[in-house]
Amino acid sequence: MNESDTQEMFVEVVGAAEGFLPGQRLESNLLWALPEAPKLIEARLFWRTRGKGTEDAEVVDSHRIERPAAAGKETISLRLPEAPYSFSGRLVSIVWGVELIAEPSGKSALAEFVMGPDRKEVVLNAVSNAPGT
Amino acid sequence: MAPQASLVKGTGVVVRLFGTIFFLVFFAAGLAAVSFIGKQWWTGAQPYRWSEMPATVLASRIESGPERREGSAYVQYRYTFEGRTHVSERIDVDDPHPNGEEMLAFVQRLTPGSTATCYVNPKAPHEAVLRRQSLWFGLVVLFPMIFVLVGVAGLVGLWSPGVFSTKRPAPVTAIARRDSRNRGAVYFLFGIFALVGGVLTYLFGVLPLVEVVSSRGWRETPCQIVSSEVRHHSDSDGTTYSVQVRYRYRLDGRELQGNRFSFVRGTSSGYESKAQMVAKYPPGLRTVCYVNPKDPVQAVLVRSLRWEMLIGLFPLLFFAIGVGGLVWTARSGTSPSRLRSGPGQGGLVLAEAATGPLRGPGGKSALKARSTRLGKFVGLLFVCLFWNGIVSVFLVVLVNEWMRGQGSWFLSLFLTPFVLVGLALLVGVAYQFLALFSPSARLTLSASEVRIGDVVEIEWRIARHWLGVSELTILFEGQEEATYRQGTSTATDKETFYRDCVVRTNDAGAIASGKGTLRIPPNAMHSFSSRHNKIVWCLNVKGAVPRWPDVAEDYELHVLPKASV
Amino acid sequence: MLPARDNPFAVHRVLALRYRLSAVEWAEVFDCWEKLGRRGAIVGPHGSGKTTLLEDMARRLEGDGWKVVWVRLDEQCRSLRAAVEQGRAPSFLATGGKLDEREHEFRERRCVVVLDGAEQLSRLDWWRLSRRLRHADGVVITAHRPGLQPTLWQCRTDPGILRELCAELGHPLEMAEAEALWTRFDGNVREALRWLYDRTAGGCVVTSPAACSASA
Repeated sequence: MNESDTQEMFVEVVGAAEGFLPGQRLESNLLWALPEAPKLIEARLFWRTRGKGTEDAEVVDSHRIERPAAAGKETISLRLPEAPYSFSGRLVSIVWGVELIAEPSGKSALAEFVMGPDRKEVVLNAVSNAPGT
Repeated sequence: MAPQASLVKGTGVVVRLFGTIFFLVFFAAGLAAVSFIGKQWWTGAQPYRWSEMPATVLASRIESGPERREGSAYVQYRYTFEGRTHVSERIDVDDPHPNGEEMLAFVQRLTPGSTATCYVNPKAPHEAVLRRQSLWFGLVVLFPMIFVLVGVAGLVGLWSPGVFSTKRPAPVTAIARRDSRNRGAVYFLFGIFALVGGVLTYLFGVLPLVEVVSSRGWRETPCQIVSSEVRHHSDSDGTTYSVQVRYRYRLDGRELQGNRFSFVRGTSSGYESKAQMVAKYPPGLRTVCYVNPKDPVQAVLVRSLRWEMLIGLFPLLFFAIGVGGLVWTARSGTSPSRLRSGPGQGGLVLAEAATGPLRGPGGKSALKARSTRLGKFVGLLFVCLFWNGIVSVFLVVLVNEWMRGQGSWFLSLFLTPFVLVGLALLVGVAYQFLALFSPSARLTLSASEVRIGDVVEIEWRIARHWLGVSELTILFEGQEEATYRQGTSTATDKETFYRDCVVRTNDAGAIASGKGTLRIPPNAMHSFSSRHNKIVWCLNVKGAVPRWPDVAEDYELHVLPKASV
Repeated sequence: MLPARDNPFAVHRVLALRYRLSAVEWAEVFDCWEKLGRRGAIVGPHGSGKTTLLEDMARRLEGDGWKVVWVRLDEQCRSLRAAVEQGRAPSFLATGGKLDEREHEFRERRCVVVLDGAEQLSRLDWWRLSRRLRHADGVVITAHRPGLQPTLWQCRTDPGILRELCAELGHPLEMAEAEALWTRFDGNVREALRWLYDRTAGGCVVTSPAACSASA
């Protein structure tokens, strides 16, 4: 899923549709076209919670581009950690994403993806104790 | 299944009003005691600033008669200060003629013509004393300080609830932050308990025992009983009694008198036992006493260990609570409840240390319960002692007043809810005490770490099974927890998303010990913890014990992600 | 079971809802604020949208060139000192003594302090803060009851608002149901939305189908 404040920022995670395994490297295409050159462009690899509880979030890796041009594109590589998996329960979900942010304007774009064993999100209501497993 | 919610509610106006009155009383009473003791100490400390001068004893005796208090000491001495000679009869700065068991020995040391040391006020040289009170007496002020602190803490807590709030959400990463301000107050409170308990234990428990041991080297000396009686001591708390025996003995050509019966200090209730002791030492009886060869004025009639000395060890409980509290406070601050894992695992937060598994031999791991029964008992005991200790002071006053026909309905009604809470705490303590002896479960896993999809063997052993666990159930559960703001308070919803029954049995053999299989679902989520959201796996042990507190303990299990390929 | 991230009443969606004020009402609010010497309080019971309105007002003030200084208090953070330690308030609001550079900035620029949860402060803390706030060009607070500052806006809810919010979240309600919920939660829209979260989530506990067994 991609979100963007404006048309000026765009981030894409290559292979997001297939999902990622824990510890895998992912590539991300960054694109920006701003009215004036920002001081800093940063791509952040993060997870955040969604659901009934107050949101928590953590940036696990980032890539900074100091004094970039007003417009540009770049492909970066970020390594995913072993955990936490993407998961969804009744009260809590964890969602992974890459956020592209320009400072000092604060304009941003976001792309979400799934990370987990079997490249799939863990769904808690599908957890079962199948015999023999 | 509806989620469970826990709420923290604010205080209402009525509670604040009653609480304010309650804590104001505490504060006022404590402050009055602190002022009184402080004033006494300051007066007693003045001679430390005076000049130390030699003095010649002119007369010394123990007084009796209508003009002076029975048994008070009288010493007259002469000294010279800045060329002028003065005569004084003052022994202590706040009591010119003190009485007390130890005064007989004091007076006998100061024979007429002997030299003593006196302390002269340089600003008023006619003022001098023979003794200086111990400065350690100032520590007594710490006891009423507890009442002052309780009063202040209660008032502040009622009207500024944030100051002492200890509810803080755990941060996502690293060690939970300590609130040094709150921790300082807790250290101080437990420190006072330890200090006061320690001092009282030393004075009333340890010192008598030390004296009993050291008196083994005292000389057995013939003596004659001069007088013996049970003395009454009455105050607002009631009447207590002490054994008063005076005896005469001769040592190294000198005739001396002693009035120390045994090494037990203070007075106590129980007239009959003391009357029986006095009856064994009628006036005129020739018996033996034990005299300190290094200081012949020190003597004792009975030097054996007595059961009353054990009562002197009661303050040890307060000392233990104080020290235990200090240790607990220190350990709860240094043990991280959350640890950030190493590089490559990003933001994964693993809960360890306080509730993590213990590594055992052969790759096994023993699980620890999330909260210990002893911890619950000690915590509840401390609260109960504190609460009932304070409420009992007012209750005794109230009961005495009613017995004198001067009872107050307002005070009675005011105290009722506090007494009821105290009774509930007593019941709770009794229940937790019994629960200490309830069977306990020891769980051991066949693996030192558990990951998603693993199948591990779990072994249980029920200790103290003789109490008779009629049914044992061990459940393996996975729970989501979500914390959110609810008005000005915080609520946490919990949802059990997985439950597996490891064992449910009422077979005695299987209850005492057994093995089962724990299957971590292969498509489950590992343990996770952030500030407001968690995934928790735990083993829930329930043992039904007829006519006894049941076994109910939770053991958190840290389920790691699948091993990376 | 509906996954938490897809629940229309998940926290991030509810927080995205804005306070419903018309352009005329916004003009009234700012006009009142000016007349009150740029001091005012948004008052209302729990779950009536005070924080939401305060955030919207702060955003508009920033758009007008104001420097907005936030102070956020709640049950977990009830004193100025705790707020500064947790980064919920600037340090110069809690310290005494000489002014530092930031406070100079606070005094010189068009600076408005927005305080969410003023009722959490003790009387002493509020008195201290009021003294510091004398120098601010503007102050807006939220509180459950009037009295701390002149009342700028009284937040109220009704079943109609609950119904509108649910529609905006993509989960419309019938009026009768909205009325029943609004009455059940005494007008606390936030609690009503949380209840709707649970109802929409559904779900149940999955238990092992295998029989329990034990070996001694």
